This record gives sequence, C-alpha cells and structure tokens, in this order.
Amino acid sequence: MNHWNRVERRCGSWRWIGGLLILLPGLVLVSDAMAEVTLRCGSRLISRGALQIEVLRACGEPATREYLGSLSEGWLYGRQGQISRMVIFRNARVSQIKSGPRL
Amino acid sequence: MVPITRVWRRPATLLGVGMATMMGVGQAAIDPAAEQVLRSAGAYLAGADSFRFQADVSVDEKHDSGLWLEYSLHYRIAVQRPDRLRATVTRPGETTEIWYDGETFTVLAPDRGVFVQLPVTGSLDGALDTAMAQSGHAVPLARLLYEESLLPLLNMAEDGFLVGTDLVAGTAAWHLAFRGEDRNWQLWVDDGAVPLLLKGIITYTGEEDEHRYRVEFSDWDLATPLAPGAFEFVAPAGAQSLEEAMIVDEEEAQGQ
Repeated sequence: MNHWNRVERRCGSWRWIGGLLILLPGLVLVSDAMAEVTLRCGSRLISRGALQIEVLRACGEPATREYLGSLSEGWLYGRQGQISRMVIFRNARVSQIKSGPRL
Repeated sequence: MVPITRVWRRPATLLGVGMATMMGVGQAAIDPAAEQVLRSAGAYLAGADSFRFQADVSVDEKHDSGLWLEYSLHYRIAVQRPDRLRATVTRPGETTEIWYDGETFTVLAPDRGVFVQLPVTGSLDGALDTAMAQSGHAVPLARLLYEESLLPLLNMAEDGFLVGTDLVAGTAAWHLAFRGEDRNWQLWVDDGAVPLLLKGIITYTGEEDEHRYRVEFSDWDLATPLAPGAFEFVAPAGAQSLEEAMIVDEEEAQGQ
C-alpha cells in the first residue's frame, strides 16, 4: 500500500477531507519543468530537502497530518477545487511531494 | 571499545541475572533477568555525565511499487548533562545538524543553507520535548537521551524475556525481547564490563503500521566529553535563518 492509498484508507473519502480543508491564502501548487512536484506557499518554494519546520512556517498547519512510519509523516495541503499536495517527510525533511486528487 | 572510566561490577550483574533467571522465568510477565539487564543498561547511561556514540538506523518502508524497501540514516550524537546536545543526522545528499546549548535549540540544513532556532531553556529532557513539539523535528533516538533513558521501555512492555547471549559486531551481548501493545522490541546489551546498548530492533505490528526499525550503536564514549564550544551554534558562512530566508523570498517576489 503506497502513501496515498494508506492515507486514503485512513481518512475515508477525499470528499470528506475536502470538507475539512482550511483555505490557505497564498498557497499555490506548482510543478517545475523537471516534473518534480513542488509546493509554493506565499513566496517560499517548498521542495525536496526542506525542513519540517520550514514547511510549517511557510505553509501553516496542514489540513491533515498522517503518521506513515517510524520516521515518516505525510502532510496534506490544498484548497477546494484545486489539486492537493501530499508532502512526505522522512526524518523531518521533505523526501517527496506528491500530487493528489482535486479537492 | 573506547575507554570508559566507570567500572561496572560485572560479577554482580552476572550473579543478579543468574538468580533472577532461576527465580523468575515463566512466572512474571517480564522475566526479572531481562528486566535487570535493561535496568542496568538504563542506569549506566543515566548515570553518565556525558556520552557520545554513533548509530546506524535502518527503517522499512512500503514503496509505491509494493516492495518493502529499507532506507538508512547515520547518527552522531553527543550529550553533556544536564543541558547540552549535539547531533548530526546524515542521509545521502542530506545532512541535518542539531545543537542545544541550554538556551537555544538550533536545526541547520547545510545543504539548503537554512537554520531554525527556538528559544528553549532547561534540562535536556524538557528542552527536547519542547523543541520537538514546537519544531516538529524529531530528535534522533530522543528516548535514549532522556535521563530515565531506557526505563520507560519496561512500562511499555506487556511481557519480556532474556533470550540468551548473542553477538553484535563480534561483541558478546545479552539478547532481550519484549512485547508491547502495537510493537515488539529486541535489545542487545553488552555483557562485558559496561552494559551499553549495542543494537535494537522495533517491530511494529499494527495492521497499517507493520514495519521494522533497526539501530546499531557504535563508538560509545563516556570518558571524553566534547569541548564546551562544540554545543554552541555558529552560523556557517552563507547560511541564513529561516526568517531571513523568507524575507529575501518576499523581497524577490515583490521585485519581480
């Protein structure tokens, strides 16, 4: 079961999550030319290697936090009507940012 | 093994383990022999004014492909009681440095040229709790760094026993096994002059959380504390605080 499936299974339907999402002003989801998914929060571009606290301060509290393992955690960002982003942390650093479904 | 100044009374330990084994196996939920070894290891570490060690950590993770993959980290950790910590966590292409000097908890990502500082005071135990709560940044092997050290592991155990003796990197060790509500753990404790932790494996047993966490310790040194200045953060050239970096981002965004 991958991270998405695991999160989906824990949270139930994405529609349910969408209902809980906090609208985050200034949060824009982008993908760069190398197809690495990134997350822009205000003026800060969040990418692989970012510190967990860096993401928290730039993007605010995520809609959901999911425990994904001993050193792994997934934070869901997005707003209704947009493609969501799941930020996967490993050892408190961003290891991956995944595109999610439209909320 | 590095030199260690404290002398551990091994015969007493062995006698205690032997008596506990004879008296306790199969009767108590936690085998007294296993409890005694664990308490010895915890007390030894808790009684140290300073210690440092290295650790290789490996964690299983279910990959998107469906395969279970193992990834690894390397820790270098130094503690000076009551309120000093220095840690380095290394992964390929990524290093995280941590300092606590009794007043400020600092996390530096050298590869990003960014550091974060949190004003935290007090003993190391309280500082770790506060810093982890505020930053979300897990301090590596934090449980081991607390003054109570390994003892909370006993409270978490539903049962446990002394498996016997084993080898860890050629060193003879007591092999302990414990079962908890949602995880089982094995510990290997040096059966020589000092009861230091050599290895640990945690097996998470939850249906959605089934994985293993393995740590092997090396280069324990309880005799040579780091120089006092080693616990004080000095920003390397080119590094910015996160606050500075975010202001620069904002200025660049406004200039465009």
